Amino acid sequence: MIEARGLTKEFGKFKAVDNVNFKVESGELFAFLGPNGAGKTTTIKMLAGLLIPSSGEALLSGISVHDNPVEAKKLIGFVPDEPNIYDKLTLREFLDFVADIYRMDRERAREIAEYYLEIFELTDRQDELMQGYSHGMRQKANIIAAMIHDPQVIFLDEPTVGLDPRSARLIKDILKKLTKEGKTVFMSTHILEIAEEMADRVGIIQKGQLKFVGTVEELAMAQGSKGSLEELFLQLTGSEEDKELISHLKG
Amino acid sequence: MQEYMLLMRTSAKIWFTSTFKSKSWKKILTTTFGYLALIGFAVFWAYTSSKLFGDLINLFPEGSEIILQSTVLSISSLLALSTIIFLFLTGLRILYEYLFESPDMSFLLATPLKVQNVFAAKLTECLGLIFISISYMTLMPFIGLGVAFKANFIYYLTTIISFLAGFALFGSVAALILLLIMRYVPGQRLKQILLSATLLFGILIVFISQAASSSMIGLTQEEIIAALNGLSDLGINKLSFLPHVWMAKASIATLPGSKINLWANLLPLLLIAGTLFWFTTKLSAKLYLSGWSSGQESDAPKKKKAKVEQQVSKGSGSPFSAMLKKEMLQIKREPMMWYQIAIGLIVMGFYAFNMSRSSGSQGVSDLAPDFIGKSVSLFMILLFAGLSGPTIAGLALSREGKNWRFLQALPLDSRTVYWSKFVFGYLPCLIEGLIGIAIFTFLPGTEMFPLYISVPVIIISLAALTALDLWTDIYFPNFNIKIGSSKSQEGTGKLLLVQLGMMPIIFLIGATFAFQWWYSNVAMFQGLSESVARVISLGLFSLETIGVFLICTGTAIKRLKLLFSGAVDAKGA
Repeated sequence: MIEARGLTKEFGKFKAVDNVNFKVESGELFAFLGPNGAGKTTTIKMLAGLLIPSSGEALLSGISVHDNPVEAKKLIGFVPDEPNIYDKLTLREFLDFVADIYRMDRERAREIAEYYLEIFELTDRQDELMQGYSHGMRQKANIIAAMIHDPQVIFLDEPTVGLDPRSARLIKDILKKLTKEGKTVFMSTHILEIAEEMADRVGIIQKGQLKFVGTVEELAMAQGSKGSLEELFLQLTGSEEDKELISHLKG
Repeated sequence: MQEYMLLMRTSAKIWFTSTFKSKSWKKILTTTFGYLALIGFAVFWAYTSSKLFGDLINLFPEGSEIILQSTVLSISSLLALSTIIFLFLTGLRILYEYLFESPDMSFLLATPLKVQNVFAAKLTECLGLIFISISYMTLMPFIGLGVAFKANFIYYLTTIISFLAGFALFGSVAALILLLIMRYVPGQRLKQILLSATLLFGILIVFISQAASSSMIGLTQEEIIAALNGLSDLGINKLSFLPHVWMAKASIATLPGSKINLWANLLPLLLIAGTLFWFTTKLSAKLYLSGWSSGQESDAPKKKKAKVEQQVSKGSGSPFSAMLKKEMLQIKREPMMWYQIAIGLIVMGFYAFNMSRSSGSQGVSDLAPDFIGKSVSLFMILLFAGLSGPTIAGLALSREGKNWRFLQALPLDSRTVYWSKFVFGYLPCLIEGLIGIAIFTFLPGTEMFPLYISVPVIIISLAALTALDLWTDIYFPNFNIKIGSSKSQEGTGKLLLVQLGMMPIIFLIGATFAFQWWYSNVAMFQGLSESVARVISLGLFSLETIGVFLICTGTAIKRLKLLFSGAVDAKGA
């Protein structure tokens, strides 16, 4: 469903993403992990058609994102890392706008919208201008907008940031349900417990290079040690000093 | 005091670094050009004022120095009063944004800095900005007055000190009012009130100035002196207990030959300004934090659910109509977007009113050929409707702001986005242009070409100008611009640059269209026959407008495609 073929992005002399290759199948939840500035958001932007790669290719259901961006974008729902929304629109107007962009039947769009609005407890506030929304409400609005056209592939960049525990739990349940329905979920996160709990496979990127792709068990085998994803992640991405510090703190 | 100075130093450093230490040459050049344009305008305004005051001095015969001094004081008091009114209404919104919406305020208030020091630093920084933005309009006439009276250095120094004291005094009062209001009025509601008040005030100023200029038409020298005496009789300069009179008197006191006591006016002004500033900052220790917290709260939800649910229509919408609807809803809810259009319409209306009033009297217009009045009217419509473009089409893409990334992820064709943005920018200008034509066509005494000429000319010209406005924004978008915020210097700078750039283009389009009438006055074209001149005129006009429209549209769509794919960088994206 999602395929990265030698994806590379250079900003001047700086290589943000360096020859990244992987495949994510339908019905799979893929967690993309890495330290700050590792290249997670840049990779997601290239996969979602927001950034043109310096070299390599991104494919969605076999459609090249860069050769045929409009067709590829019809398949995706995208939740950006910062929940920016149109302040001068109400949530209802915003969702109608997104539904019309996807040429959805209005009644069907409204049904889906009502379903998610109910889940996220926004039904009573959908006719307010979004300028008064909190960070968490904005994030929820973005998630509903990404889901409203029933996308085949969902990209989420740090989706649980700013959400209350109940909403974070809801997001996890929704994503699990979607993968059971055969949808592909590609999610970047810093919260390793979420990745460990939910992801079928994880990808770990550091300094633009993909260090590992596989299940958590495969990661443990590759590292030759047992432990939580957090420990395995730090072992893989931390420097020698970090490793010493971790073992020192553990006593 | 130490904390206050630290905050002031940091603010100055941030301003200097962001203005002059940019790595981008483009930014340095744009900033330098912006400042030069500002200085140029200030010099021009001071020069014009000095000429006007020079003419005023010449109006009064020898021996009437007392009447002259009294008249000058009345005008100065009026200018000082205007400064204060400007400060209260236009500056109030800026003050509100600085004190209650600054993004760094939550950080500063969480530090161990004293609240009153943070408040005082923000108030000073904001008053400094308002001083620059308002006083170059109202302080420059004082500079011109000094030049006309051949004043010495002390006059200029005293004038600037009295203005600064006036700003501190009235700025402190405004801040005090805001501090008190914030306890009772929710932030969003207050912002709406301030925006509306600013808009109404702007319209009122244009209305009064146009009414005054309309009634001044045809006045004789004696009538002007009588009008100025009447101004003195209003008593604006006689209310000596009011601070704006102190501002004016402190300044005028140092003019050569003045009988006014400097210290009797400057001292109370400085004392009261200092005391009020101190009192407001002291009070802020108690009031500010709770007021700031209330400003962060949003308004109560409006419940219209049942009503809207019935409005869900069947079928599906199109991306173009969705984009256009989104743009129109946003423009409807942003009062500042209508400001330029409202001002343009009012000025056009008064221009037409002046024209109709002067049409009955014997004047130059009777001797001039028929086409001049018509061409000028058409040019005025084009100018005002065309200058609304930069505010709307010139920021059509940048106004997406941080939503740009969201828009990029949608399956939108660059043509769809372009045409929705074009219609969004074109419609308000076209409506303004067509209203302008209606005013000039149907108001008795005004001159205008027949509708079959004026309407197509406006439709075609405005389409070309809108395409050009949009082109500038698509080629140089800036998603950091905050629409409707007076703190968005990047937005104001970009807008001013596009507006300045549009003026010669509008003039060129107007001049080309009118070539068929003015060619015979230029020696090199005198050999042309009337029909050849008309063909050249209309040919060039069509070439310019249609050419600009096609080139701008074609290249902008290509550029938009690159922007959507992330192949080219955009500021703030």
